[in-house]
Amino acid sequence: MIGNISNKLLPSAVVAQQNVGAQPGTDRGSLAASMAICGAAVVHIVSLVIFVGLMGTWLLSITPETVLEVVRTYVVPAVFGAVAVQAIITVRRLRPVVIAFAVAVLVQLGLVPLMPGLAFVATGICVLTTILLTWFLRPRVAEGRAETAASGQPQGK
Amino acid sequence: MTSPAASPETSTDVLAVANMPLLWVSALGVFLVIIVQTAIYMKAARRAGPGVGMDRHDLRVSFRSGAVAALGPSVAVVIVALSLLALFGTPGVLVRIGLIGSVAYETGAASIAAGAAGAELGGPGYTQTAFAVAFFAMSAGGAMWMLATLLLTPVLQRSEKRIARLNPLVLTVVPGAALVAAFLSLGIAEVRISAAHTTALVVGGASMGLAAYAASRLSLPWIREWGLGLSILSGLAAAYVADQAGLGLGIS
Repeated sequence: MIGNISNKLLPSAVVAQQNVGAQPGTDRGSLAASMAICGAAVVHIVSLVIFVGLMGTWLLSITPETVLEVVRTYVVPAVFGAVAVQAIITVRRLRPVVIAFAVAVLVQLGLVPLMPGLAFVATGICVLTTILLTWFLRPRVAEGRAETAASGQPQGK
Repeated sequence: MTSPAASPETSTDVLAVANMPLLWVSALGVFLVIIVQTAIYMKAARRAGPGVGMDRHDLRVSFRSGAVAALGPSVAVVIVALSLLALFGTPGVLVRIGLIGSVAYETGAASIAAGAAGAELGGPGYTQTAFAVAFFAMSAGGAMWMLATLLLTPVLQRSEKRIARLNPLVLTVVPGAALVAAFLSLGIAEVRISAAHTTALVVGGASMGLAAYAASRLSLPWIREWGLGLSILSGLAAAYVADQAGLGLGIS
């Protein structure tokens, strides 16, 4: 249920297991992990209720309309900039990133201005094109090596 | 029907709709579910504890370690959530950004949905109706996500091995590339609106890159957790400066 913090729950589980000296994978370990996750969930909920629910509502009521307007207008590109770089860092490979960037620029700044009707399917076009190009422009040499390694495994069994 | 000036299709007072009581009640419902779930887990753990050599003290230490470890990430989420309040209202942000889903996915879904309704998130066409469409897309998408996780996880686990044997690239690089393409596309679409939007995009991205670099260089993982919130804030600040310099939509 608490999907958003699940990736942040792992570290708290590990810390808890260390603090009570429980091995991961044992019953003690998984109990320590569940308790840690409960603790993390409680902190997360309390901080959301206090800082976003109560304080946020209050902040909204005292924030000048100009600032609200700036946030409303520009928060979307700020989020996408940060999130796109986050995704790039996760991929950690130059080739797919270059492909995705080139496709996005071509579609959004080349194709859409020519055919404005495509604007709201543009992201779909970018994703599909990138998937296809990443697949067809994959590095063949490295893949050949990976294939021999992969095919070697079943024989070894 | 009220006068056209107050109709949902023309009114840009999104927060009046986004903060309505019904949404607050729903948000509280989600919080309650998680609280009850947590209570059940803790009770079960307390009952199972003695059998595996975990006494009350160990349980309490585990609980406290989890709570302390979650402090940083939680406050990091709070910053991100606060910056989106003006767009989606408090109950929406609490549930969609704070609890279920993620900033990246929700903003993406909302942006595409608002676009389909002929509006830009936060733009002059972001009316109450556009908000309703965007919010519906976020919620429906989130519900599908949960269903898909429940139904497809066992199926995918089985086929994962087969695909991995066929070609490891399919599993590792292609989904990542698709994500990068989606967010780059959504981001670069903002470039068309104004130079201040471009500034927000570039500064937001650059700050994120800087944060990730600093986190790995100085081995300070907390910078990574805070990176998203700080990047959004610096993107906003830069956009404000650019807007005042006459590069944006001109907010007075």
